[in-house]
Amino acid sequence: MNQLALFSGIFSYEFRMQFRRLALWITFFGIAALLLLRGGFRFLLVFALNQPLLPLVAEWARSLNFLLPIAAGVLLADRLARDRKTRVDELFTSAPGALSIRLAGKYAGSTLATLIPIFLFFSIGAGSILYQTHNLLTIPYALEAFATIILPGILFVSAFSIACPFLLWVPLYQFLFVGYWFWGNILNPGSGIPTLSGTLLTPVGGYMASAFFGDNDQLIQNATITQGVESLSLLLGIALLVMVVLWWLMRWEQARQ
Amino acid sequence: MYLDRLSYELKLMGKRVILTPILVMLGFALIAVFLHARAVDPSRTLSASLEIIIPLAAGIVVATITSQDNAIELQLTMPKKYDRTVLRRFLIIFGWTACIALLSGIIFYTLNLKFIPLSSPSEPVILQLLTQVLTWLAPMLWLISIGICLALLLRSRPASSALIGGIWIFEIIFKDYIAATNWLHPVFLFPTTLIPLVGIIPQAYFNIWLTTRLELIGTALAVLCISWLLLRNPESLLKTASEE
Repeated sequence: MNQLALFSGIFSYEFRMQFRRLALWITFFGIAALLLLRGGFRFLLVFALNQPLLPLVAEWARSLNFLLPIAAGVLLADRLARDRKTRVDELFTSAPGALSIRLAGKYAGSTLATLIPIFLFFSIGAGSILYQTHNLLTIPYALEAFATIILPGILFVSAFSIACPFLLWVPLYQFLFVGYWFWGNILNPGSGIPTLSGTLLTPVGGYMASAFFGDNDQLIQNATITQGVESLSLLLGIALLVMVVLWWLMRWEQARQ
Repeated sequence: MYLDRLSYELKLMGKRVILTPILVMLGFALIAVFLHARAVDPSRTLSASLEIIIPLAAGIVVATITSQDNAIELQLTMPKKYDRTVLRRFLIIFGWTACIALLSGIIFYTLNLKFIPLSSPSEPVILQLLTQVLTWLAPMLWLISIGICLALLLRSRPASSALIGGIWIFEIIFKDYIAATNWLHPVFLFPTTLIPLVGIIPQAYFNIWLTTRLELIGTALAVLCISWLLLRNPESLLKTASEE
């Protein structure tokens, strides 16, 4: 079977399975409501007028990145476990088509479906900035902020959320993931506890926001363009590495059976 | 008979349910040793493990275990009502996690690593221990009951876990906002470690702290009652099982 056709088939099924999940929309609506409760409304209504446009757009993307990836990570965690639970994984193994294509389709499809509510919510904020500033540059800036701040973080989180439940019990992974999100992104590095927070490996996107957009009102300040590119490449590279390791592990498990 | 049921339930849920709180506390004990070696006072971190981390783990695990059963159709045909079975599972996990938290709290207290608010310098030891229990009991009950209720209402365990995670992070990031907003006080989950309210504090602050703890327990019990009603609705349970 043509591998490309196989990929597009898996991709579209995974996309539709995730996109049509009511839980996806309810969860993002709930988290967005939490975000609006504090800061979001103020941001949407009055913040835009007294700041330069570029850091403003980045700040909106970064503030979303504190909460929304938690929903993405937790909702993606059951995708692989679901195949086992519904007992279709053995059927997939017997079907023609490489495991790597199946994993790539699952990763791309379910991640894209999870990104859509995030993009919609991000667009509301970007639309509000556009309405207040009457500056059409908001649109390219917002797209750039989404692509460099939110997208790498979600791709990073999504790879771990699909891969880790292969080894870990899903609720345990979800608990560890939420704990990690606080420890590795929000915890102040000066607290005495060693943390990934403030390093290049923060999917919340502080380095990209500071380096590419000059958004320095945060933990990371005055990052250079090189640091921004390094952080971006590291996040994407690790996401790819995690999926490759998952592929190896699954192949090894199949070979043992 | 009761012990047989207990051991079957434990077997069904697996060792992971028993091991999770133990591993979390062991992990934090290691972090505490590390911090102590670097001459950093570990009491706040240990308080965080009891007040913030263990309740999150308990919330996600209990919500998952109690809102699903692989043989739900069979369970609903049994003479023993399913809500009773769930109540037993809830009590096992909650009771076990509470035991681990209580034991850890006593160890922290005896090692002079307590991190609790006191209304007067000469408060009896038993009251101090009770105060320490309230620091973790209230958020644990609240997160567990919200987790079960959301899982049953939304008919989805991942949605429930994601929302618990979102609320948890929100409570940490926006702690100052919640502290400054009166109407949010009844859902102020972690004031002891985050503000922090510790040592001898004015009576007014202690009263606010105590009120928020009692309000949390009250709302948690009310939400648990709603969950219990949802558990008595077979249609909702079957849909929860099929919609994931």
